[in-house]
Amino acid sequence: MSEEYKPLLAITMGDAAGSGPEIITKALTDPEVRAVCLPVVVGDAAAMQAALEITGAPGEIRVIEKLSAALFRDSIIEVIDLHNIRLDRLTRGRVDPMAGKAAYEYIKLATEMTLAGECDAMVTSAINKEALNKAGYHYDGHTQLLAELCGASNVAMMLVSGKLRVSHVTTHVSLFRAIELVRPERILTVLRLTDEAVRQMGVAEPHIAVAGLNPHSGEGGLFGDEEMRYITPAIEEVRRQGLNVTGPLPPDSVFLRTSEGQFDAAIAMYHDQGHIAVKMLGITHGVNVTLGLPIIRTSVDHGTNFGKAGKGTADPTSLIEAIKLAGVMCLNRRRLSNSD
Amino acid sequence: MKNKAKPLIAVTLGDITGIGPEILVKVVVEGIPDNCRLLVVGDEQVLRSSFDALDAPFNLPVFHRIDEIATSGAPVAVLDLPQGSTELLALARPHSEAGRMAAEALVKAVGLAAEGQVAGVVYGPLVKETLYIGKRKYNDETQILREVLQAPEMKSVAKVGKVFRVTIAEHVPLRKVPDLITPQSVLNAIELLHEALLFYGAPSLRIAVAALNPHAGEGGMVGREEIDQITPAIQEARAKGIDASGPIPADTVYVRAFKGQFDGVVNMYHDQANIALKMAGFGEIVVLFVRSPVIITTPSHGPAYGKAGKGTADPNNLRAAIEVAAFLAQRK
Repeated sequence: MSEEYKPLLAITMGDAAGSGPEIITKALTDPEVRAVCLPVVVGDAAAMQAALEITGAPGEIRVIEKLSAALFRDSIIEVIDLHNIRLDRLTRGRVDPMAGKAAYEYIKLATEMTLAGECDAMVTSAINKEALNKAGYHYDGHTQLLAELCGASNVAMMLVSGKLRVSHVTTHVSLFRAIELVRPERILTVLRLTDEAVRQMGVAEPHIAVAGLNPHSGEGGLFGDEEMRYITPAIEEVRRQGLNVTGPLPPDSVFLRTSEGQFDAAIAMYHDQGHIAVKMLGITHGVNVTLGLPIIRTSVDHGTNFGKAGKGTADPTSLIEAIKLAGVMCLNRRRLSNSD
Repeated sequence: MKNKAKPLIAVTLGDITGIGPEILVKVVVEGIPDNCRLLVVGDEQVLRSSFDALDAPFNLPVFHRIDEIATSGAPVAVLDLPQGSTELLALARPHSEAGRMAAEALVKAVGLAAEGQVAGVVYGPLVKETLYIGKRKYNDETQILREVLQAPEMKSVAKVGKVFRVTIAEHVPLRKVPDLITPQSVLNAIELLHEALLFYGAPSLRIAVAALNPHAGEGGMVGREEIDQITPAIQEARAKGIDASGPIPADTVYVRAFKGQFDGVVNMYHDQANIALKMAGFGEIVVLFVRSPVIITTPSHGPAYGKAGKGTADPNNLRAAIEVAAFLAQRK
């Protein structure tokens, strides 16, 4: 395998009223980013030009019609221009259906390009759910939208923050509903997807920990029986299939242990179980990865940061980490498929 | 402060099959908090064996009657409670006899406090499953305390660093939690937390109420408890003059509290609080009782059987519990 291989990444611009465009200008002029990938922005060229002027990042914007026209020179930020933002009508820091519609179109095109194999992976910037909904796109976020665009029925959200990788069995549902959805088939799916993703992240033999649902992991049935009825059978099943899985472990220590390197990933049963752990780590450069798509997709783990839009001060670290992680996953996907 | 002026705090070993004796010996050997004197209430032989196990010399004055202690100015003394059973030390599993010993010592210490012989009580880590007095099995130590002190309203509150915490549905299956979240239960928790902050003399009384559902229910899209149960309770608390905010998404409430934005957090369920606290690396969580006629605190951890007998247990949580008890005794 050539050491020179650099994956081609489609980077969506996200919500134009937020900090996304500014963050991209910082990330794509970072030599570390250029060293690991060939990036192309799917967005609006005028919005990118304005963002560049705000941040003063050392680069220039170049519009390309299609990917094959990209030159990938380090100081040039190449944009596939959808020309869908009227800057004179845009107020930064405010929910705007125009920006919501535009953000949808970037995601759609980037997904199609990646599905078609024109690029190796996609990395997404933050979108504003309210703007998306006001534009008539009723999704609860990127994950649901991407699943639909890709025709994927079993997806899962993984957050990566430092050494902590957490996949979620359930996400944007009520706690009550989440408990009903904690069932062996779904846990099996998330475990398999996690094992595959962690391998793509460069871990040869992943060891995955599974959180219980209940306090103290149910304490032998005293505080709930979902561990015995649903979680343990799923773990036993994937072990028979050769996966290295431990659990169910008490939720209040499993994520700490994983963040300390005792496991390569942890499985959370519900949204807050995983998200509390990740946010308490206090790391500002987390990455969100969608598992179960036919494509590799990583994302920033923060919102549109309307408060900082237009100021040039937004932190690009999360996007830089998301790009690097997508690069690593592309590299390992290639290596793993070559070794088959 | 002269030793005799310092409040005398009774300390028990907790479940001797776990780390309780070890961490107490470590606190004594490494130096007790300087705002108190300690009276260890427990079996002298068990205590001697615990010192031996850590190669620490045992040179504490031992008394058999509480009135003998009044004349002692020793910073640490022992009130011998002959119980035998040194063979249970660091057994590393629950044992009914050890549970009985722990409960007896607790009752003895609390009795001394009720009589005014000691200024407060700190009990060592226990497990619920072995809490016997005679043949009677108790559900938890709060049940024992309420009965002994005839204080049915007693409740525990946790103090984590500077932040106080109350959890509405603690040791119950997660699926039962939504049913336990009612305007009344949320209001009760807010009021309890407010009372604990006042009891401790906290300089400000800002209370955050965590949400139950992700993103605080997102306007009812992913759960209605925030709208139907939690918000009405917050409004009622505010009408009563309590500085309560929320519902706040559970994945940011402690991030904000530890930044100093809140003095107390009401949690809906066990792991909402405990995942956050463990990730934040807070070893020192002290449980204290409010609506109690006597001052009682305890470390938040259990007997940690996995660490029993290894000499590696961390005594800082127990030391913090002693400090809090002494602080409260001096405030009184």
